Amino acid sequence: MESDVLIEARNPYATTARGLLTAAHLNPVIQSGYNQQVRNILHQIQLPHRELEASRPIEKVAHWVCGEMDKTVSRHHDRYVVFCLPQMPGKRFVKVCVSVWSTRGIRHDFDFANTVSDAVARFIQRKQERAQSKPKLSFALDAVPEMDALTTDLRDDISGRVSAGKIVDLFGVNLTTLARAADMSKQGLAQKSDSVKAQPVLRLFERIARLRSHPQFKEPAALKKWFRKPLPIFSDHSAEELFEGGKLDVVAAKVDQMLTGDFGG
Amino acid sequence: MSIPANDPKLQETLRAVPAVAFDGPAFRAIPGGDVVGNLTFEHLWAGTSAGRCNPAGVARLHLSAEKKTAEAEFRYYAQKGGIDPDIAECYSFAANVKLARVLDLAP
Repeated sequence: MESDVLIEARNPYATTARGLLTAAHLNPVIQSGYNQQVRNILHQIQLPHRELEASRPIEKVAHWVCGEMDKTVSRHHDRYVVFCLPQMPGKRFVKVCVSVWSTRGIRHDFDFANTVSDAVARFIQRKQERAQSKPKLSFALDAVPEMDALTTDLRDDISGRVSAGKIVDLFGVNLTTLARAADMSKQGLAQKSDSVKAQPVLRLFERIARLRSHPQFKEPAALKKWFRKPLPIFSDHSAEELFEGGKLDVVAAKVDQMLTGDFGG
Repeated sequence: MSIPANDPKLQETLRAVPAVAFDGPAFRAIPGGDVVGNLTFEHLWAGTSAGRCNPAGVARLHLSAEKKTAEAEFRYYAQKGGIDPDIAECYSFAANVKLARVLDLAP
């Protein structure tokens, strides 16, 4: 989900963006119901002819750009937006940037790009920065060898890796959503259920499945119900909602803490 | 807690605030099931996720000075986490704790 980028651009830029995002191992997303969950937006600012005239004062162009930015940001609250102005000559582009930054200040929720390839480069950089800044979680129960026996049924008999198919069966999650969380296609994960690439996400589910050690969750239906129930420990969201929002690690960490009586989290 | 553990200002503040020594038993309540029988003392603070009083990457050992507090906390958090505390097994453990410097954050 970190790799999804919603494209808000017209052709030929939209087509170019799709190709470049795919080449960068990012997932281009076109208008769909899934939009609400996409955290990255590539938005082309379509300048009217008047704003492109060389005689137009930079401050006026910057003012117009700011208006477009405000409209876009209000639709995509709490998202990262790269505003692309591919029609603008380079010299005028940097002058507009200077004007916008000086009035708006430096912010981390949007950037500018003069070309589509530059915009895609910013998403690559953003993804790398997020991956590096994310603290690596460690789980107390990972250090307990006997824990493996609790989830043997979720592993592939031959490879010993966690199986996506078994996670889908146990939690009732959607294979498409699971594949997206693993940065894979649905077909790819369906064909290779114990995919190495998907293991980080599947291992988080495996840690959550340790709840079955608790007598209350022995029946699979009870775990499915728990996964969908809004809970105060998740600020009245369900574990499923956190999963869909790319925060399954939070759920796994809370389960680890609950099972070890560590309530300092 | 979002301040890095090695933040110089944080380190300086922690060194400067008054602290007391602690020597006595401390308690923790753990849910029952297949997990509790396999835990050793070291496992109780093997997790390093961020908590109320520790940044990510720094281990914490969560204990209560009183047994009834540990058990009340178990009931409270079990309920918040979707576990029925009335049908949940709960085991209390005591550990002898000796600490040179404890920051008492109680108001």
